[in-house]
Amino acid sequence: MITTRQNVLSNIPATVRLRIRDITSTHEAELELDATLRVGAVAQTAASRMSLPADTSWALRDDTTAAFLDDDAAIGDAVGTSGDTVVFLTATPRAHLGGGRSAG
Amino acid sequence: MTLTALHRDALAASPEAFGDDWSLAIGLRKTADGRTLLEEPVTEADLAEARSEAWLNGFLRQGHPDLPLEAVTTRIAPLFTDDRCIGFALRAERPPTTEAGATPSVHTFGVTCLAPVAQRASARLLADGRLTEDDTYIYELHARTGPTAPEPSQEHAGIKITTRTAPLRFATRPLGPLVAAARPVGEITDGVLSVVFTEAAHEKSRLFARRGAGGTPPVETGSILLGELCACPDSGELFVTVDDAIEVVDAEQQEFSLIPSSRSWTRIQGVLDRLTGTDTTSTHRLVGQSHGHNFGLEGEPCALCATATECGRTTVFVSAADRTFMRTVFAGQPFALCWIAGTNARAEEVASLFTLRAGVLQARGYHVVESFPATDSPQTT
Repeated sequence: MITTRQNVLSNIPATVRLRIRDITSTHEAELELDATLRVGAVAQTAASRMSLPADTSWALRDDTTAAFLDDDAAIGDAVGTSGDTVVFLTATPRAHLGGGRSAG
Repeated sequence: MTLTALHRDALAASPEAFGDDWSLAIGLRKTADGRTLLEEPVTEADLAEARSEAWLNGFLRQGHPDLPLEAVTTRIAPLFTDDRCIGFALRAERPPTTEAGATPSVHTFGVTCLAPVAQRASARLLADGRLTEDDTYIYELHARTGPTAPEPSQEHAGIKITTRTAPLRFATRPLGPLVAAARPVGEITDGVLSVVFTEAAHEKSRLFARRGAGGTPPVETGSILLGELCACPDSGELFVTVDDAIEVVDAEQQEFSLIPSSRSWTRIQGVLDRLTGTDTTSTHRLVGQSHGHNFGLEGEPCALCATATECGRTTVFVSAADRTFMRTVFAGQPFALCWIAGTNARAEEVASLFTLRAGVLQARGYHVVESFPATDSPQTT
């Protein structure tokens, strides 16, 4: 019989496994973590450990669906998978290009 | 709100200065003789670009393109003239256990490379009412012995994490013949990282950056640049080539900003994954971005307009947002390119390439060739 560990208080798995890369595929992290952690906290931790600027806000993007994960969601809910499957994500800075209003 | 940096050109740091731990901070004042309103610590993150630039110029461009950033250690020392701290120096060295051949190198940085720290401090002062949007301020560098301020911890319990940084992949290509056959764009400065576009990539960069100029109102548009890092077997130089540009589509295009969406990034990464998964293009990487500051300049032409050969009032400059984009998307990649198109006060189209120099994205010249000859086998550190 195959069983999956579940958090008794919710339907999300107890742990999830992630592989996170940055946009340029220069830095990569493998994580195994408590599925109840918030996406935003996971993004900041991963970015910090991947030597990405920790003073920036980072979002996680699902490489399969191309959708950004909700910062406030539990990571287990957001990726919607069991603890055995590795989910591929990309750490994306909340940054944009642009000249603002003051020209040089 | 405007700012002024109190500094002069950086001087050489004495070797003894590297023996101590130093911490830096940016002090803000409203006037040159006013009291310091706030002292903002310079953190490790604030120094990351300077450290990676020391790695680039001290090792990658000195015949050691295979040395990873993580292998380089840096020591910091403030630069003083009279009693004023006018910048800092980084001494970069590789561990003694690695092979001989790369000597420690010293790289100097002026106060202006810490302008983002001053902007962070000014934001705090704005928030608590000690500065207003109409105020000007002056910032200066303070140095004292002690360790550099750490980042606030981002760690959370319950996460088991392992990380790795991909080896720096590069092609081998002689630089001399490439430059000899190229046309220069802008002023080529000795000692600055060489950058070579193909004509096709150069035109695509321009086209995508200026595509939004025709809108009502004009909007910002742009591209991500694709190319390679190349090591010259003759000179030991490392340089950047650009052979394609991927338009940033499905983005939020506004008059003053370009915000890539999840679909924009997915498309760009898809192109990159296909290239790096193919033997003949496996050394390709995202080498930078191009975008257009397509908004017009306000006001009448200045008094010099009738007589000056060139108009220096342009929309082409590196904004705070551009800088943040570069240091986050291209973190640890001091060779990344920031190419910006726009217009001057005469409504003429202008453009510049900016790369990191002394910790600041500075305008510089580059070369354009018809095409690149085939390279030797890709190299990986």
